[in-house]
Amino acid sequence: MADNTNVEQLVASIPDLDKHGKVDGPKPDDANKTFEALLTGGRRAIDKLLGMIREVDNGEDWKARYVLHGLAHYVCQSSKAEQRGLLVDAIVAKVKSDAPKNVKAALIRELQVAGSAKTVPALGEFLADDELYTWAASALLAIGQASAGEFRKALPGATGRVKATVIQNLGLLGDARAISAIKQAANDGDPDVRLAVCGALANIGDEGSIDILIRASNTKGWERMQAAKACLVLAEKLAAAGKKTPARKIYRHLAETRKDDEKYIRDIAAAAIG
Amino acid sequence: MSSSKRKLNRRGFLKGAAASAGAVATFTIVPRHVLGGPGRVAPSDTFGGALIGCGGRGGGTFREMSKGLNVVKLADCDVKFKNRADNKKIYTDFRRVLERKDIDVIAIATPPHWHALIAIAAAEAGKDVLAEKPMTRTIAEGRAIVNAFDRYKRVYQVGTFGRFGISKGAGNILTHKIMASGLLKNTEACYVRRGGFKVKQWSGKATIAPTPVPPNLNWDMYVGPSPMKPFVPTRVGGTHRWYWDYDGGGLGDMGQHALDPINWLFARDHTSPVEIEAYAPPAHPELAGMWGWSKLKYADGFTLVLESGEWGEPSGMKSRPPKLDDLSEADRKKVNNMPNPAPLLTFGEAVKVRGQAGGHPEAAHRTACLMHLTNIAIRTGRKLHYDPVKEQFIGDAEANRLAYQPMRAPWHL
Repeated sequence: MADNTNVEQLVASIPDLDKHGKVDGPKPDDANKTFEALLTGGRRAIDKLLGMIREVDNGEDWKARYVLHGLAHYVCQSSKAEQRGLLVDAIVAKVKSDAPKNVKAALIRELQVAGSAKTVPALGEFLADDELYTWAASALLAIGQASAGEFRKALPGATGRVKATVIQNLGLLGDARAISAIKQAANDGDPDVRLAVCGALANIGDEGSIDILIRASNTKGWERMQAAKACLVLAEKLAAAGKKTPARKIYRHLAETRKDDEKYIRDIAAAAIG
Repeated sequence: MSSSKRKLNRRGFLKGAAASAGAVATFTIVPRHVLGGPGRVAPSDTFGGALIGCGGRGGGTFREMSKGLNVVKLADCDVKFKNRADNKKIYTDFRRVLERKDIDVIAIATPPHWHALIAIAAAEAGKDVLAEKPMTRTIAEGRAIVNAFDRYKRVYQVGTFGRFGISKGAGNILTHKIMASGLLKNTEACYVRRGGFKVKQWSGKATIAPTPVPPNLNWDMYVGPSPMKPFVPTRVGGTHRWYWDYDGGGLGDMGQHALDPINWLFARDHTSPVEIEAYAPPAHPELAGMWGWSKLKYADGFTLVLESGEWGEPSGMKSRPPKLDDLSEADRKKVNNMPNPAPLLTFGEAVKVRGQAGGHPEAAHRTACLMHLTNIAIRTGRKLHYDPVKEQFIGDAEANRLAYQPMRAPWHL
C-alpha cells in the first residue's frame, strides 16, 4: 500500500506547466502508471489525493485536481469496476464531511464523471443546498434514471431556482411518477418555474397536462413562445404514441390562437392536423 | 418577384403611407410577417436584424448574415452591456430581443456555450439564424438545433463557408459522388488533416486566480447553462476557448472551419464515425489541452485522421483518396450517371427562397460531431464505439455523459 509520501510524489510527477502556464500533460502510458499506483495504494492513497484539493481554485493545486479528474475517467473503463467503487466511495465520504463547499463542488463534479446509482442518495442531500444544488443536480442527471427519486424527494421543499432545477430535471428524466407534484407548481409566481413545469410535462408526454400547457401558451412574450414549444413537443409525443385526438386538440388550439406574427406556428399546427 | 412588385419596395411603401398620414413619428421597421414571407407577396426586401454577442466576431458575423440581404440592424445584445442596456436598441438579455416582432434575422456571435440555446430560441421565435462557429459545444446541442429548425422551418447557417468553395471543383464533385454513392464497402480511403487547430494557443492556463466580476458584466447570464464558477478574467473575451464550460479548445473551435469542407467532400453530412481513438494526455477538468491525433473511422471503412502537429508523435497514417478504380465497372457507371450535387445556397439565398442553406443544421452538426467525438475520446482516454443513428456511444454510459451534458436551470435543450 502506498504511503502518504508516495501520493505526493505521484502527483508531483505530473510534468510542470510549460513556460506559458499551460498543461503539457504526461504521455498516456505514464499517466496510466500514475493512476494504477494510486489505486494500488487503496483508500488511504485516494483519501490523501482528495485532501490535496484546496478551497480556492487558483491553480496552486492544479496537479492534484488534474490527477483526480484523470483517475475518475480512468476507472470508468469496464475492467475497473472495483477501482471505480473505491474512488467513488472515497469521494462520497469526503463530500459528506465538513470539507469546504468549493472542495465539495470540485468533488461532486468528479461524481458527475464516475458516480453511479449507488452515489445517488449522497448527491440527493445537496439538492437542498443553495450553493451546491446545481452541482448535485448535474451529477444526478448525468447518472440518469436512478436519480429521479432524489429529485422527487427534493421537490416539495424547493423554491425559486432550486425548484426550477428540480422540475426541469424530472422532466428531462421523463419521470411520470412526478407528474402530480409538478402540476402543483403550474401557477408558481416565478416564470422560470412555470416554464420548467411546461417543459417537464411536455417531455414526460402527459396527456392530462394539455390544458395546463394550452393555458400557458396564451401568455405573452418569452413565456408564450416557450409554452407554445412545450405544446408542440407534447403534441408530437402524443401523436407518436398513437393518441391522435389529444394531439389534435393541441394543434387546433395553436392553429386558432396564434396571431399573424406567429403564422409559422399556425403553419406547423395546420400541417399536423392535415 | 416581378419588376412591378419589386418597385413597391418597403421604403416606398412606408414613404407613401407616411405621406398619407401626413407625418412620420419614428422610422419603424415593419416585420416581414406583415408585408411578406413564405407564400405571401413581399413588397419589401428589408429585414430587421439583431446581433447577439457583440464582441470578437460579432461585427463580421452580422456582415456575413447580411450578405445578399438588405438588413437593418435593430438591436445589439451582449451580457457586457449591463450598464447601458435600454431594451430598445441595446440589450443584455437575448430573450427580450427575440420577443420583438420586427426582427427577422439573428446573427449569433456569443461564446459557443450559448450558440445552441439562442439559435433554438430564435427558431422558436420565428427568426432565421446565422451563428458563428463552432455550431455547438456538445452532441446533444447539435441534434436539438437540427430538430428545432426542422420543426419551425427556419433557415440556419453556421458561420463557416469553406464548403461553398470546395463544392465547385470537378475533382471534388467526383470524390463527393463516389463517397455519396454508398457503393464503397470496407474502403481503405483515408484523409489526414494535419494542423490548423490552434491547439496550444487555445489550451488553457491552469493558474489564474478569481477576481471580482466587472461592473458592466452580467456574469450569471454569461455563464448561462454552464456550471457557475467564480469569475476569472480569461473566462471571457476570446480566451473562453480554453474552457470546457464554454468551448472545446482549438479543436472544438477551429475544427468547424477545418473539417466542414472535408465533411462535404467525403459526403459525411448525414452520418458520423463508428469508432474513435485519440492519442492525448489526460484532460484537465476545466481546461482544454494538448492532443496528438485522433482516428475517426466510418461504417464504410473511410478513416478521417486529425493530427494536431503540436503534441506527441504523429499517427503514421497517410491520406489515400477514394478513386473510381476502387469500384467495379458497373458501379463506376452508376457513379458517372449520378447527377451532380445541387449548388449550395448562401444564407441570403436560402432566406429568400425559404430553402436550406449550404451550412444547414444537419451538415453543421455532423461536422461539429467530429470535434466533439474527438474531444470526448481525449477526455475519457478510451477508444470509443459510436452509433451514428442513435448518436450514442455503445457500451459506454460515461462517455455519453459528455455527449449529453446537463445544463444549469432554467436553461435546457
